[in-house]
Amino acid sequence: MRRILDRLLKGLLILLVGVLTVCVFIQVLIRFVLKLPIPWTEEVSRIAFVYIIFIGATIAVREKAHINVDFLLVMLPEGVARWVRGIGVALVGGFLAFMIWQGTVFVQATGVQTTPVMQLPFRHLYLIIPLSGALMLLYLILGIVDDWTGGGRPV
Amino acid sequence: MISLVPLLFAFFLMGIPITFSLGVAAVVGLLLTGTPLVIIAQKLWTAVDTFPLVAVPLFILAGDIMSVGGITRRLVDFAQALVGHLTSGLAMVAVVACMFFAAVSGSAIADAAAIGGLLIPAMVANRYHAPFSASLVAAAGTIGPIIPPSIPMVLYGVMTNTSIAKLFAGGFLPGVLMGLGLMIYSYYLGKQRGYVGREQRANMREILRGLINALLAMIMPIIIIGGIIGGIFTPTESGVIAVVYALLLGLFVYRELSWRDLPQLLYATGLLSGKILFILGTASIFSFLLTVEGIPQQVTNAIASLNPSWFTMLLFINIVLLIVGTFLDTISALFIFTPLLLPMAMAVGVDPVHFGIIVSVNLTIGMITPPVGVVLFVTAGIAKLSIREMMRDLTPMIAVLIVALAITTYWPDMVMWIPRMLR
Repeated sequence: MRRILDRLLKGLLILLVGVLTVCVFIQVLIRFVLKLPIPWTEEVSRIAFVYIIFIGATIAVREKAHINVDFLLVMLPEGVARWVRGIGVALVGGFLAFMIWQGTVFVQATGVQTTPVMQLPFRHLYLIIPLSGALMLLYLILGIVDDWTGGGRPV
Repeated sequence: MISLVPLLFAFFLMGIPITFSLGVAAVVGLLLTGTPLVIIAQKLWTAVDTFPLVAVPLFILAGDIMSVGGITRRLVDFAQALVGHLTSGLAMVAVVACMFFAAVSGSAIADAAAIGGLLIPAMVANRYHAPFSASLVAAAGTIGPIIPPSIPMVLYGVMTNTSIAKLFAGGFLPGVLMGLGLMIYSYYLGKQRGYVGREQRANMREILRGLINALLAMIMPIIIIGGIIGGIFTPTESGVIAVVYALLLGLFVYRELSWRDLPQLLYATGLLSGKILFILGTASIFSFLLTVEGIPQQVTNAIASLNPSWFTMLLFINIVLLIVGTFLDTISALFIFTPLLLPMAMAVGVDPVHFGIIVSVNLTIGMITPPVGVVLFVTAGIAKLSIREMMRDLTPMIAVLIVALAITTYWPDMVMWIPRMLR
């Protein structure tokens, strides 16, 4: 299950970065060669871009790759550091809970507006907000479980 | 409400990822002030839903493709032909190659990793001290985001509605100044320590051959920088041109890149973009809250009541940023401090373009100052040193860059000379 999710997200991220690059390139090409404006490229690339950020940030939670300041943490005695890390993880989980909750509220509050060119409904696009929040929370919890089962390493 | 900022810094020091520290502090603030919580979701989307920001992943991708696609080596060879015979020859080559690479990439990490990977081992093999070599490449890597294109400048431009083209134009001379400073320092140190260049000076034929080999790689900065500054493309469009050009060179001309490398490059770009730009989302919830509470205005008023001169205000801002830069990464510091500091700078008549360059130079220096200096980790890793072993050699180089920062700060005409020519 978990490997399927990992691969799905990775594949999706690669696809989106590819789509983004191709779209912006088509836009330049058409603007210079055919001198025609094509509005859909900007819309597609912007949506792809926002999705890259949400999915990239989700994978970064799994990889524990989000930028942090750890010079103080490594100076603390191990027992204290474990507590500090634990509180940190709890706070991150708290933020993600708000992100999921308010993301859902935001989706529901969005009416029937659609994107200007391709008429995509915003309320469907915005689903990525609670969804990626939920996936980040899942990976955060899986990370804790891994640390426990993986020889009692600290949270 | 001002107490939110210490809370934020407490979260940072606890090792909570910066993006989530901002998120948690913002949620606490929203709850305390009774601001509608839906702002959380709304800002996460709207903060990044803007076309100019699309330039960021494109510049990252272009830089990554160039590092593996054979372009770096040709830039280094050409730099070798130009300055390899001078005292501290390889050190000079490293700085010049970093400057060339800076003109095709917008990130200090990419710059230091690409040039350092080639030159640090070569320098050590030629009896340059390892700590010197690793420090120099790290210091020269900071030119990456100063000579255009530049990721921090794109972000600053988007946040403050400043022309990215003018910012790029303004970064050019300060970047050259940083490079020259490091070269002069290397020359002086090389005389003392007996770092010699290659025995023979390259003749015209060799220089010409180096130029022709590097020519295809050197055309790229001309297209990118010329195109943006000349108003032919937007920064985002120039980013995609850089990607496509680097792909063509790597795949078909130099043939050092294969199609199979691409998924990994795309993946790395997506992951890094997510890491950097999700911070923009949570930072914008945080700064929305500060703005609603009028904090930037209060801070500016408090400072203005001291009636600081242009000189002292810029000194104050630079010192704040240098301190912040030692423990926060460039991008996070930029997101958090620009909204607070720009009003102060503008209150004493600093041009937003000039200010953008000051902030970029200042915070990039922070990338080579411990405890949190991401570029140091890159070059220390290549040279297999600890940061502590590098400190003696690194400190004077940081001083050189701070001198360049001072000149950039207090000589606005130098920075603004090229941007003023636009329109």
